[in-house]
Amino acid sequence: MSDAGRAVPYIDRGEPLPMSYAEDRIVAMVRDPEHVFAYWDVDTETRVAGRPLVLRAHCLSEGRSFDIETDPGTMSWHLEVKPNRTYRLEIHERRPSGGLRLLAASEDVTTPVRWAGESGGETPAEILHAERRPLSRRKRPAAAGHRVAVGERAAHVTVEGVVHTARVRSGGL
Amino acid sequence: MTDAYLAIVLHAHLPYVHHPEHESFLEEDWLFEAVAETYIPLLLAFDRLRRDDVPLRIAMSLTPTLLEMLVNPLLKDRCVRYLAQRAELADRECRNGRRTEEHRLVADHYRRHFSLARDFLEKRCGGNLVNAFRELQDAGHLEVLASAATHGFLPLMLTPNAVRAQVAVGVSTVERHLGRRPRGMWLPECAYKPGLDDVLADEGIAYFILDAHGILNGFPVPPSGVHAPVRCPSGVAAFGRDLESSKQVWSSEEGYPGDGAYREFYRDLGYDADYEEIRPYLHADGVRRNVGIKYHRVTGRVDLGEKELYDRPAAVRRALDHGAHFVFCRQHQLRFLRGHVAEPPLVLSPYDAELFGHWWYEGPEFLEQVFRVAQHVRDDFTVCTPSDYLDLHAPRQVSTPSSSSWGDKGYFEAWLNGACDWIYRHLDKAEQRMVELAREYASEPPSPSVRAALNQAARELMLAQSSDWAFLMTNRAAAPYAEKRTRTHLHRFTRLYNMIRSGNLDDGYVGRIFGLNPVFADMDYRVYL
Repeated sequence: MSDAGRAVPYIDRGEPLPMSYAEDRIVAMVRDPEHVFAYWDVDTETRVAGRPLVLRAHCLSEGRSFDIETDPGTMSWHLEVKPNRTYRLEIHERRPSGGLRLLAASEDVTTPVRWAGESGGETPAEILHAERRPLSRRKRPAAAGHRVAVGERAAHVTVEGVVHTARVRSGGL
Repeated sequence: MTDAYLAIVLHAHLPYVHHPEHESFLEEDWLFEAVAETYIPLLLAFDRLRRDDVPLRIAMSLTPTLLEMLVNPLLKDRCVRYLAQRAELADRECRNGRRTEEHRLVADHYRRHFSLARDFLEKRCGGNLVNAFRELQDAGHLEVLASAATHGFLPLMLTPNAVRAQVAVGVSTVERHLGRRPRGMWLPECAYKPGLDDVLADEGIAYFILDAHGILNGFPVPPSGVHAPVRCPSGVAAFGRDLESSKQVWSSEEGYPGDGAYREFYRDLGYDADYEEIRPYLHADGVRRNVGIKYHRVTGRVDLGEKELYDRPAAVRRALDHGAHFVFCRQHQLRFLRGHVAEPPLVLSPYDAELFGHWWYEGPEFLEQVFRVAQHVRDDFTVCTPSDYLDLHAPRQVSTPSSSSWGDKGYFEAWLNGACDWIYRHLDKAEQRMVELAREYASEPPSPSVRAALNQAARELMLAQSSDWAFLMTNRAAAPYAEKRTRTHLHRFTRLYNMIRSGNLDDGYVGRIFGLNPVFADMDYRVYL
């Protein structure tokens, strides 16, 4: 049996959602100190079909900007940015002359610091991941060695009718 | 008694999963597994501590969606059925002539465990686990934190009214179930951005909890770090997660749960058993899955096929050792901190509740042991809840915490990446439309039909906002289900929006979709004003 004749498993991913809400809009969302996510929507009434869109990022903290040329079908982007800076994003249409026509601008967003006083070169705050689950979907911590305390006093606990004893340390070091 | 403190906070949460349209539904097992392996074992451990007069003070967030599921009649019945089936399977294993004596010892443990759990749920709690949590709270042992209504990821909500609605409904739902207005708020995924504390202040919340770097990267940098709460500009206190105690439980390199004596999660009878024997305990599709009976222990870094048999008494003994070790480490940590921190030092250790029992099977015994041992070291520290600490010591560090979460890489990427970023344009549009509807019907009272549709629209929006869906899409686990839930709730919301806008209401539809997800029965759409 050829691949062409093989049934493709159906996965129900729910009802379709609209591709566009027919409005000129760009939204900036802070993802982390070094990334801002942008999505945009352009009304087909506003836009000249086929013209490329340009994502312009203004770093208001530094007074500079940079452009990202996007394909006509692209509607979102994860931008690389700097920590502790304020950005404003714009979506433009590229004219045949090479000039830009502003379609929409975002609210200003500020990226967080990567670490306290980072400009002063202090040690970054440690980040520990909680490895959050959904239940039965999270990876469990792998087997690893560790030390177990020895103590000076006993504590007792009854589990399922069996008394267990563990040594406990209290008092001085 | 001393001015040094340990606060243990357990975050109990599951997304709202309720499928009356199916006789059984795979994702509903998340709740039943958590009830059988985490919530009841923890409550049993707390009961033993109370029986033995061991001082018990613990904080737990019980999220609104979890509470709503725990009191749902259909899910309660199905949970009892799940426990009965598991007890029956364990009983069959005990009598299975092809098992060794060692296997039967383990099976007998499960038989007693599932029977005990069923008795606890049916007899001790009258079928409603919330009763047991409330009793613990009223007896002064448990402080319950609120959370956002459906565990929505608040920093990624663009509409301020939507954030306020998640917080307000979350607080009122917890109050309705627990009979007390919560003082603390568990921010979903510990996700924070500056200004969020203003919303909490408006709801009368006294404190929330952040990952360590949210506090340590605050401005100005708080001198006592995470070992004393900070006071945000809004006046709400923010506590930071202690790294050392978190690592001991979470870390894959140093954490307790990886010990070779503990039960191995991934080796399950659902895969090992003869297919015809296990088939009655699988879902209708007949696919082998975990059934919650596991005969093996972690053993070490070996393949699943080489795992050794589980020895329950030895595993419990190891949990007791680890509990004692945990306390021993806190003694030393807090003694050190007393000399280095200007304020009475606090170690605040937040964990996912489901780690204890579900993932780390012996976790409830570990936790029980922590309290038993801690009573003997009260010269070194006192076990408390965040509220207890605030009652004794007002925050003196004034700081604005930094944007952060406790997810992968510490910020928002686990909920905002190429696998799930498509949801936000639709969520944002729905949030705007919900606010638009609420404003339109703010002054002029709607008809009962329109009111019902407005309230249902608010429910559908909140159900679509659960952070769990983006997380599942990111992890590629149960991603189709997560996508379907997101699309389904958004689709229903949009249909309701269009109905209300056009005036062509279908009361039958509104009632039908409420029946599918009967959450927040007292929803009032004006929460979006």
